[in-house]
Amino acid sequence: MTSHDDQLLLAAAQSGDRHALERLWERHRRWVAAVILLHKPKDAEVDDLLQEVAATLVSKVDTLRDPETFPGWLRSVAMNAARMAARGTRRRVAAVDRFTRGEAVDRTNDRLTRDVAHRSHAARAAADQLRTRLAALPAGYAEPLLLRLVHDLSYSQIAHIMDLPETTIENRIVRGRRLLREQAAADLGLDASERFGDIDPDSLLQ
Amino acid sequence: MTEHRTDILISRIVDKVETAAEWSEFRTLAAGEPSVWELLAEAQRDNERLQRLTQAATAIADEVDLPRSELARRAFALRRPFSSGLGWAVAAAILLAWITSGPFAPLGLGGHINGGATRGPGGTPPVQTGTMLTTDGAWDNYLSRGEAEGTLVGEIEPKVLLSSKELPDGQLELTFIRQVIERRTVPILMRPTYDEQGRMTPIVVRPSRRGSL
Repeated sequence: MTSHDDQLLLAAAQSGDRHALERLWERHRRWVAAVILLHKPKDAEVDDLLQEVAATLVSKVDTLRDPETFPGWLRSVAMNAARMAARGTRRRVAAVDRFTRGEAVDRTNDRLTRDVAHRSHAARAAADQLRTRLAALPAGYAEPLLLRLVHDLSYSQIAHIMDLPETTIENRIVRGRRLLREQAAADLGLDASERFGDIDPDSLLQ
Repeated sequence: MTEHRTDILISRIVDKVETAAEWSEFRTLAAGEPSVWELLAEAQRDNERLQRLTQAATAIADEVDLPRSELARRAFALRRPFSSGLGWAVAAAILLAWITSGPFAPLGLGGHINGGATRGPGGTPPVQTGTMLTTDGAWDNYLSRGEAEGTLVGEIEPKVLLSSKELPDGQLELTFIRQVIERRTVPILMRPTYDEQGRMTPIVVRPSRRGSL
């Protein structure tokens, strides 16, 4: 179900409260990023696609009639953005918005000069590791597990986002964990830290 | 007990959603099969590491705010210019204002006084006062000249009504936005950046994609 807070924020946002809309986005953008991470093509950037989702949220939030459908709708927007990226559709929103914020439009320059470049690099490295780890899971298993990991979302919240029964979600999480454990066991002679490659997750959070 | 049931119990304990009965069930199981404690410990450790990796991979989301350009566009759209019952009245008021001050205005009521000539003191010959325009006249000049020169694509209609209020004399005072689209040809596009000492340094900006400017 959509939380009571979300319903209030959504109603306020639809009546024109900009801060409510921003708050709503802040509450959801992390798991939206996780969905994008799983479904995007390898060469697409999570933040670019997330920017597209943010733009769609602003322009289309008024079309939502039932607040209950908000998380599922947001997920479908994220998946569409990832699919469009996979089809090689050119994206302009992120660049436009960076320009209007007075930031760099030239992507090469942008990446080299911003101090977030380091964080972006770390996030990309972590994302690559994560995708490698989760690649062993069948389609549909990785997403519930990732949603649980990214936000400690409850099984029922994940079920609501993915529009699946709660028991299905829990079963997929259980089976996903088992498959990851078996994959790890198959990596003979490797300890847990080696299984995660040479990236220390703690260092990425600095 | 099936292997799947063990997995379920471990998964629920890892997620901290197990009931007291499930915890008791797990302890009973572990009493007969101590290796499940190791499985639980490993599952918790793996979960913790995956969780940190996930946090690191999605942390970039915190830097992605709602696009300001879209927010501004939405804020204007929500004002719904001329969409209420008052809209026609407002439109009519603007039309009246235009007629009384625009190019069809009778002399003395505003409008263009192009090349206006007035008589000098004591009936002396007319004095050329040059081009004197009202703001509406100047605006019309700007539009037509811009179109002729190719620097102006057009004006966006309808105008965006920001506020309206009735004045004591029964007229309406309107505050609204007029937007025009311009076109320019430039040899180079630059924007200012600032170094750590706060000195401005222009850098060349290349619109990387069609429509991205």
